[in-house]
Amino acid sequence: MERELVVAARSGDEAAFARLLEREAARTFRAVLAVVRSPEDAEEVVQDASVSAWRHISGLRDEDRWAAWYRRIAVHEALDRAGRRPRLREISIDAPAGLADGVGATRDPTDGWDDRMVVLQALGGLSADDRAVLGLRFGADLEVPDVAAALGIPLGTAKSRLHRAIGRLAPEMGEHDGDR
Amino acid sequence: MMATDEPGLSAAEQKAGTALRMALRDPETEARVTLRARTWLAGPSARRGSRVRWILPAAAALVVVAVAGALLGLRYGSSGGALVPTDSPTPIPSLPGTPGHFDNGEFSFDYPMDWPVLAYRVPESCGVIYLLAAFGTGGWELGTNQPQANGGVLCGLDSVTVPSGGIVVRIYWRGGGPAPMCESPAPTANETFGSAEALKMVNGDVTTWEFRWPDGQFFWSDDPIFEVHTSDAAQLAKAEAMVASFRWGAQAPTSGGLCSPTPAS
Repeated sequence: MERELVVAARSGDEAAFARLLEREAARTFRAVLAVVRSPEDAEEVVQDASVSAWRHISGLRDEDRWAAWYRRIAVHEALDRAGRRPRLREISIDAPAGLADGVGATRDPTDGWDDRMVVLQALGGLSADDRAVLGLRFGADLEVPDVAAALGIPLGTAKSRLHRAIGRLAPEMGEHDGDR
Repeated sequence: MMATDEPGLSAAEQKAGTALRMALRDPETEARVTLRARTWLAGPSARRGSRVRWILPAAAALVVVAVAGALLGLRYGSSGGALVPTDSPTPIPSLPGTPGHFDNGEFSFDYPMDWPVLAYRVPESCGVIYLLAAFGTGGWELGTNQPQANGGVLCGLDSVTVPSGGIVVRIYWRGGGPAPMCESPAPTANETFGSAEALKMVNGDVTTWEFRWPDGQFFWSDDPIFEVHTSDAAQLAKAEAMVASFRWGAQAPTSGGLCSPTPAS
């Protein structure tokens, strides 16, 4: 089914392209959010990636690679944006009081908005590449081979980068206790 | 599936993964992103989404859906389309016979039915140019993008050939690019059709009309541009009549007053 949609989209069928986008939009948004750390920016990145994908889908030769191809466009767009504006939204002016004082070592990371801000802030301590691998794995819920495909890196590299990134994120969140 | 199932992670790392997964959930924005995907249209609304999104309410996507059903596209058949009522008379004669009519909700225009359609809806030159249509009695050829040794791409431009007494019209817009800049003083129109303001430029046998957004400025990306290639006076007159029928529609793009003077507070 996806192959047929890709073929149709490649020949200019906007409805088919819309269906392809619809399948990937939310998870791509979550992956991108990890990189840019701002829902507004992530929304813009997804839109830009969609426009870019439409413009270049005629060059997508392997119909089975649509999802990975689209995610890669989005992640590259996000990395580009993160590189241009690395810490523009480090802390929102709407951040809860006291957020800037620390990363909340005693917080329960499953609690609401405060902790969401903490996590997004903690991501800022990681490189954009690390944020990308985390976003694809935990935001888009991709298996590691799909993470590798979206980033265009070998599987082994994706695995090691993933472990390294999550290992860096934990202490950033003030939760690292050294246990294994 | 879940972060807590990742092998080789400490408890803290697994907990961080779980927190990350939850933190990246944003149902409201995800719903908006998905809606925008579902209502994808490759017309100007979608293309310029990245630039004017800060001024477009989410409801605009729903409006696009409503308009989509009325999207017409250029008609290739022999039957003519209805003339649109114009909101003011123009000094240029109407097209002869029953012209075709294009209306995508953002803008509309009439076109002669005796000009064969040469191309329709073609992203070209690496996507920098979006050709809505090329038509006329000459030829049109898509440019070829050529990979370069340094990894770059030489973006090909399309080309037109015009026989004696013939004509080729390209209707296109420049895609992407930086956010619009507000020039002061702004370039001014030298022709007006109804409420649509155009900048007409003549370069030999090539005449172009660029229409600025109703509240925009000339030379922005996405301005519809009519480019007419002809040395024949009769053909040029038909092209002028076509251009004169241009009207912005209900879904005309807006910059949200980007270049309007800020009212004193």
